[in-house]
Amino acid sequence: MTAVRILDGNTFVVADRCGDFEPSPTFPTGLLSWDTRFLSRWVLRVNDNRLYALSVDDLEYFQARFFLTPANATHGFDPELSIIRQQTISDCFEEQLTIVSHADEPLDLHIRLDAASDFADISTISQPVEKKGTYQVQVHEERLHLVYRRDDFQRETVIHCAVQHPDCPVGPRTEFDEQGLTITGRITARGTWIANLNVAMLARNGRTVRESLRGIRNPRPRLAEDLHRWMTQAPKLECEHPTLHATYRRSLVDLAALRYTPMVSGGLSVPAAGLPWSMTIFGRDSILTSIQALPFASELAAATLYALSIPQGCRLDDFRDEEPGKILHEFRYGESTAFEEHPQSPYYGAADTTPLYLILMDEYERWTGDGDLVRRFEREARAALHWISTYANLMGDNYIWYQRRNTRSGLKNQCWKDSWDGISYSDGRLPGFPRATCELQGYAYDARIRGARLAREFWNDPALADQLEKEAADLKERFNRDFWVEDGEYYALALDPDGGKVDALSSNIGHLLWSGIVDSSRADRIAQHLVGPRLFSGWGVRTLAEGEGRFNPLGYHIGTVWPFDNSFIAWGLRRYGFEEEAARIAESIIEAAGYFGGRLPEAFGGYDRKLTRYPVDYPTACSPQAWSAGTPLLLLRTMLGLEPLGEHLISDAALPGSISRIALLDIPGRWGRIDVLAVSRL
Amino acid sequence: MASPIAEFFTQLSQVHHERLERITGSIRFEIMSNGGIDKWLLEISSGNISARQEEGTTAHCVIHSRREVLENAIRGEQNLTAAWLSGCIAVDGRLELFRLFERLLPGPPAAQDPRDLVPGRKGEHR
Repeated sequence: MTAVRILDGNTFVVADRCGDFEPSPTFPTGLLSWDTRFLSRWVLRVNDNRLYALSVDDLEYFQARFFLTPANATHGFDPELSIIRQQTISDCFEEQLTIVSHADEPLDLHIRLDAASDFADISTISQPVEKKGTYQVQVHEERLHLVYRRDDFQRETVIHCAVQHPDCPVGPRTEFDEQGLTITGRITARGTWIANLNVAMLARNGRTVRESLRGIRNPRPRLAEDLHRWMTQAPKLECEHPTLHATYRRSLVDLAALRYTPMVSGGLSVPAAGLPWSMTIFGRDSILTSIQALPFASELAAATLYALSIPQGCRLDDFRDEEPGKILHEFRYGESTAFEEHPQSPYYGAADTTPLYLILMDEYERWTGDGDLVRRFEREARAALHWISTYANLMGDNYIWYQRRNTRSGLKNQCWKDSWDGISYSDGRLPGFPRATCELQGYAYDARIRGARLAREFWNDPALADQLEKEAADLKERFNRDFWVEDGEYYALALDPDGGKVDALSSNIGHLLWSGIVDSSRADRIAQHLVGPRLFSGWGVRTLAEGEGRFNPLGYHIGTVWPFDNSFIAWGLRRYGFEEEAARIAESIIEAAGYFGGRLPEAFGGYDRKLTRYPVDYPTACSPQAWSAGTPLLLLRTMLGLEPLGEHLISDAALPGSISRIALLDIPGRWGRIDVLAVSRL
Repeated sequence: MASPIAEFFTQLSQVHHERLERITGSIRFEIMSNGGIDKWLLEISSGNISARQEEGTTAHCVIHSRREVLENAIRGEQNLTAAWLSGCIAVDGRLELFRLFERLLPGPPAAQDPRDLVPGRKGEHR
């Protein structure tokens, strides 16, 4: 579907090209905020006709403008009216509806806007449930109130309209009814009406959802000024590659749009995972996006570390798959979470977020020199290290394993490939539980190595540092023995509960390079698999290799190409010295971005590039998606070979053939700001 | 006999809380039952909590709850975050203090250690 999306943090609108929306069974259309749909129907008619879209401007991420005419306009027909809808998201939803008459005579106008809300929880939109609360619709003091109540839970939409008529002595009449509002009257020749509609989204006592949960008003920066500040603080990219240039800009804007201020982050903003399904904090997505963005906007990393610290697991809770020290998977604010029909209050069913939290903390300090943060969160970091060696160590062999305790609504797979069929043997069978996927062991290795540095340099605990390094060395040795698939010469996707190898060839082996757990004698084989024909589609590395039992080029985690996955794979390849292979992946992902208007989606089809010639859309992919927006940033870092070294930033560029020159100016970090210039040498 | 809430607050004030070492602030509880309101003030400083019943004191964070909701929460039978999201309890002021208090509550009494799900490992890690 062609959808127009505007957003601000976790409030967003998904509309059609006329600015209308009606409920769709498969896609969350409408006005949504804090995981609740506040408007499910918003349809404009003029003199009983739907309208025809001439053009749409996505002016800013939080604003769109639709240019419309009456639907009966045909070739050679001069319409008598122009209709311009400007929709803006901030704490509320605003629509400015401008009607311009081109007629030489006055015209009678009947403008109808249908409005309704089902107050659906975003997590139930694709599988609707019977609502347990009651609805109330009321017109009161020239406002339409749509209310949903269930016990003490209340969500309310309040619609107000004020019409200006600058050229018309007599204005139109606005009337509300329970299905919407009508504006009627006679517009003067060449006259203009401007209707300003305001849609407030409230919880109890007439307070916004944020105010209602926080108890206080939360002044927010003006979005336009804030976006300007964000863009001017980011490094400037100079290059003669138009796609890279456009993609870089688009990524920065999308990351700005996806910034969301959770309730407990000291007012700082973290990246929400992706529109429309995941407009909330996800431990994994927020951490990996923050890592990708470190050379460009390190404030995201600080906010993410802060926001994930307070809700760190502290007790056993089967419903939420919570254990002490574990970093959360997902937090939701909707009805099904509030009434414990879903566990996201928060849900902890992720086995990778905890080591990734430690990796982010170390990488953040390496870039920024902010040792205070590392000292401030020492207790949380130690608890995370403890979780890795205890609650995650299900089999007593020091690997990270996962097995959900919430068997009703918990996630079966608690790694990034978290769909039910994301982890399979080469012949397509699914292993039993618990499972130990390979990338989890890589993250645990890296977390220990990095934890050792933090312990030695910031926590004054050399004994812990020594212990972590010893554990890491032991883990690396055993991993290279237990996960290696001799026949195919790659690492198994996972171990099954009997210690057997789940032997599918997958993109996960690329993350192992990033983590450094790969024995250097085997790195060459891994690199060749990653850019070989079974994994590399020509646009990127597929999640699962062609020829595997479950391979499907449109399977969510079993054959599609995920841009974020590729960014970490490319970074890993560079870590082991495979400059050419890393540059090849970077180049192909950036080329793919060109087919998506510079905005990389969550995933796209894993078809062979020679077959389709363009990257094929994955049907329900999130877009914008935080770690896809972060992908061009990490690819830039990878191509430029940027690494902090003590107080300095070093660069060892390896550009692909199609990019002759890159200048990245004003890269912020512990060194102040530095320019990096690179020319092609591959 | 002391009420379960009084007992729980007293317990909190008898131990050091590493999690709260960098936190300074106060939480007032307004606990409603039988038409009356019990007021408790928790003061947090350097990892220590002092708790007392007190009227009309200002606090950085105020939690309004029915008695049975809070009693269930201190037994681990009611998740207080879910109660907050559903509007069952109301929080005013510094939300961070509420979230930190919520982290001091016990989990569900029947919750399992994930290692106990693995055959042959039950209790082995303790």
